[in-house]
Amino acid sequence: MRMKQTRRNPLAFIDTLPNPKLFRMGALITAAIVLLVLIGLVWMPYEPTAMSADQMQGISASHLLGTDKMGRDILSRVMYGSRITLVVALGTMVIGAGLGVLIGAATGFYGGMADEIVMRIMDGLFAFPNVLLALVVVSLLGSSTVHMIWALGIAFIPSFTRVVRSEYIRCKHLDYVKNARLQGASDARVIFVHILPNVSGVLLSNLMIGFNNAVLAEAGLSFLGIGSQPPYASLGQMISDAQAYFFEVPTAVLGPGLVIVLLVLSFSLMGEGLRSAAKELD
Amino acid sequence: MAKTIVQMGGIYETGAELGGNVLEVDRLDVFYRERTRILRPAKTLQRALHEVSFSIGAGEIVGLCGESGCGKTTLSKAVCGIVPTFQGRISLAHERPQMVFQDPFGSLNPVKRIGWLLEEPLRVDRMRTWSAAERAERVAEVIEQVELERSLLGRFPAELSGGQRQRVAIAAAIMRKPRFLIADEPVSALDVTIQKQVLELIASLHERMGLSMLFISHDLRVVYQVCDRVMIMREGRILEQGPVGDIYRFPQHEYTSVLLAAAGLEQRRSKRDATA
Amino acid sequence: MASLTFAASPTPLLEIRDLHLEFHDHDRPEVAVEDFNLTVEAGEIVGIVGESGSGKSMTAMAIAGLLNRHALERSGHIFFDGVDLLHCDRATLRRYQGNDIAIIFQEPMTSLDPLQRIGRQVEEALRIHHRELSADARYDIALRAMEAAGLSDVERVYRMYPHELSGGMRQRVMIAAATISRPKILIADEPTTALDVTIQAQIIALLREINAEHGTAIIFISHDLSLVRQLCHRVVVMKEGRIVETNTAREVLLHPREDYTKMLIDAIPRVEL
Repeated sequence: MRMKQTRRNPLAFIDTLPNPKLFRMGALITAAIVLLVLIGLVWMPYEPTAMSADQMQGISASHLLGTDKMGRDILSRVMYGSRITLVVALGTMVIGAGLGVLIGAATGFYGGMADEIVMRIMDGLFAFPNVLLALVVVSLLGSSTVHMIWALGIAFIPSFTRVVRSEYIRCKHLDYVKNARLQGASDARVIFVHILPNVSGVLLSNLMIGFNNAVLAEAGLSFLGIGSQPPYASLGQMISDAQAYFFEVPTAVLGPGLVIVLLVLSFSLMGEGLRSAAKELD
Repeated sequence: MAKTIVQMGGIYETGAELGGNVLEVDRLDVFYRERTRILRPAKTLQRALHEVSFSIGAGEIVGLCGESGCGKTTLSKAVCGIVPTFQGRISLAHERPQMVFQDPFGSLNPVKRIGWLLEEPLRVDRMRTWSAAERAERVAEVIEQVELERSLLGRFPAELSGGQRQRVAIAAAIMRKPRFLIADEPVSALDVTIQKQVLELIASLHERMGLSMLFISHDLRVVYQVCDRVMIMREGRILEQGPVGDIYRFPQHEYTSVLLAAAGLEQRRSKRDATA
Repeated sequence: MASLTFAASPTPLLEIRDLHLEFHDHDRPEVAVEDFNLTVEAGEIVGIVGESGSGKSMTAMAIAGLLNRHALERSGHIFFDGVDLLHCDRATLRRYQGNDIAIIFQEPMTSLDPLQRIGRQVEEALRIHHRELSADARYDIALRAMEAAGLSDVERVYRMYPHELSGGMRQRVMIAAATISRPKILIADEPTTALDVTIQAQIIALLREINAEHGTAIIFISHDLSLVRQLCHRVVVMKEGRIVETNTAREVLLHPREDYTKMLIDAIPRVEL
């Protein structure tokens, strides 16, 4: 009598996507970078902050990506820097998307005067440039990775709120929602169990784009000197430091740069894989 | 046993002592107001329903006919208790009624499987808690009654035909063994041959469960098929109500005649005059 | 009604021969229409009846030249005015669309451009096919077409936007726009399904009038047998892409030959007063 749900291969969903090839490519690259970071948690060729006499060395057997101005191994620094970039990007998404979805769902579902007020606040926040907001937070609280996450996270809330809110406004009038309420489901249940899965399609796309923006924002901000402080540098910071001697040790810039590019590319590919290609018009 | 008094003094009660009736609506006026925005004050109140009064007895199927905008949907919403601005009294002998909507789009959550959708009314049941085993058992019982194949439980709504979806909607509505149900244009979106099957299903459920119903439809022929009594509605008012045969044969209102004519059911005037 | 019978002439207005339409955008090819044969004489009203999935709308779209030509495999012929519409080039097809062949759809809500005024949309066909007309001439013809379609206060309606009109009025606008260039054949794909019962009756009457006054042939697609009976001279019953039965409207309804037709008639709720 029991309704059996046959356990299927969890990765089988990839085949149901509009564009599985792109998604797989993106997922692979992301996996490679994540692997790099994970390895870095337990082992790195050298200490990222260990200075040495071998300064400004090019690619060699002992230093796969060479060394920087202070003799630090670039590969190790890239492994460490990627960790910071990922942490910041993910942290930003947790705050930005997490809070954004909650606020958007609530305000979209309930509407009314509160909705108007919340959206005007969001508009104000949205109009504020990320950089300025980060500067404000940093000047108030001091520059560090955690503060960067908060600053960017808050800056990202409005776009998620907006997207989720419009989906909720669209869905809340549909018959299945009315039905759920008539059956006696609580508001919270309707919002999270009934409507949210319908919103997740759009949300996922936005999460991919958001992640990319977070990576780039972090890189940009740390390039400007806000955020993680030396000697523990994030990828953006490494680029900033090394741009002066780019021609002498190009890997000092290309190393971190490549990781950023690959990270953004891979997420874009996954995002594309989730979207169906536009139908060809006659 | 639960009485709510809304903003305008209207009374909505469930679990009331109504003798042999499942629903009594007494002089119901429903109002609505445009949505308030900042800096744009709400316009004046508009009236959607005027002095609507009727009752539905246990085991009766009462039809509600009218064209779009006549207030059918507002009335069904009011009876379900989701309209906060009304005057008058709505009394139900049991709990708030479940509703069967007009498919095809939107009445079943597209991202949930059929099995999940059928169990949901049992999961949110406020009257009792159902264990997983009890839920599975009840679902199996009901899908047999509505003649749905068990294999459909694992599918998504989009994979079902219109007729099958409507059976699911009916199954969900009777899951908690209600005594009274509202059906809002339940067969209007279905092909004629499927329509017949679903109507037969409704009729058999009615017989088996002693279900009372408010059956909303614009199709007079369908109403004739299932309903004992019918109410003709126009612009928020009930023009006339009575046994289906009587209303169809001897319409008192011009508008009723118009509806009958449009449905190809016009009676020759001589017959009507003869019995006037 | 249905006392007129159209003798098959050597040159019918529209001749569909062995029409076969197949979809190839999924794993398995899906046959939408098979072995479809039909002739329509000038001034005739032919009803195509079927349930969902019967292929009736697909056939209509094929005649109107509105099928997405990529994912579709088609064979057969649709002869109109000596041209095979199924295999001609786009330019030729465009010359007929909106001019000699017009189509109105089921959803008056989405058939009109919400951002353009009514008048402009009604005139559209004239703008494309009769460029020799001056703006004033177009305006006059448009007003007259709207009046003929049963709209009142046409000068005011001309300047309005679609959302300001009711469903019935929008459908009349569609009919005005479709008939403005005096098409030889009008395809009506479930034009009354989304409308109220009383408006439905009016639109049917309007179509009958257009046919009587201008001799416009009509292909009327519907799932509603009773409507088809009121309007059509001849009826074609379709099921799963094939023609099941074809005869005069009267015969199909009173003396159905096929089981499926009988089933359709039987499914109409009977009212015995």
